[in-house]
Amino acid sequence: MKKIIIISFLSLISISSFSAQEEKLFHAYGALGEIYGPASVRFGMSEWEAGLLNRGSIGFGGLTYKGNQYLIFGPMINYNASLGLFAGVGVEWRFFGFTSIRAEVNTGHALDNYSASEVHLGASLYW
Amino acid sequence: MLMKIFVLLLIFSWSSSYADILVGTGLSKVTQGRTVPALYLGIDKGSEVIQFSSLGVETEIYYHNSYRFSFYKQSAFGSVFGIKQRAGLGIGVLYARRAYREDKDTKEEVETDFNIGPAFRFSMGITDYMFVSLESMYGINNLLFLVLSFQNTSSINFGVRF
Repeated sequence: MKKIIIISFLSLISISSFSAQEEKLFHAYGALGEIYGPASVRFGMSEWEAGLLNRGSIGFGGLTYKGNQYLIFGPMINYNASLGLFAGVGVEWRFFGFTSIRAEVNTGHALDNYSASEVHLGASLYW
Repeated sequence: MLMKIFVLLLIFSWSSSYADILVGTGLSKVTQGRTVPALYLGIDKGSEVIQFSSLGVETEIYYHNSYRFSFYKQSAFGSVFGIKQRAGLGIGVLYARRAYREDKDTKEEVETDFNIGPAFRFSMGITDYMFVSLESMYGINNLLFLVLSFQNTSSINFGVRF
């Protein structure tokens, strides 16, 4: 039984390593924030993400990678419909070619001077 | 006192002969909902940024002052929308003093805030001489940071570099 589990695991890794060579076009990201409550839901295509960026910011941003570090930056609106900017920096570790875990600090600041800054722990799914 | 500490830190951290001076203004979450302009000063050495900002508001019955000092290690992250981006992580300290009185004849009640914690900075260069930055500090006052709860202070700033 042990052998079967080990062989299955190694097969999974080798298949994943192979598929990791392909660039996945779409992804979804979900994160927990303060008190480990839901804080962000984003859907992405290539190196763009849109959705609930943090608990006080809705918008989209461009992702720029540097190794396993990334930066997200883009426009947002808050719940008062005031325009602003959102930025975040984080680290991402990819596994099996289709999933990853992320840790991110971010802030969204709108022109009406309301802002939301959060620390997120999240996961992404690529397909 | 804070200004003296800031100046001393500047002197002792100066290891390079070349750095950009940042001067600007911004809006801070300290006066959330009201647009009170802040003074923004900084030194950008490329891989390191030292930043100081202060703001204050005063009426006959209350005043509110806030000072923030941050140090960041930053790196370039390419460009998006054709805009050069930099991001930095570091540490920040915030001190704020608030006072309120019912009317001109009563004694004011004073409260102070002190925060220290990790800080994050994002900046983009609109031109070689102008910048916009988003800065955030995640104050740690107790063990609630273990559940990702921080006393946040953020600001959006713009100014010139020379």
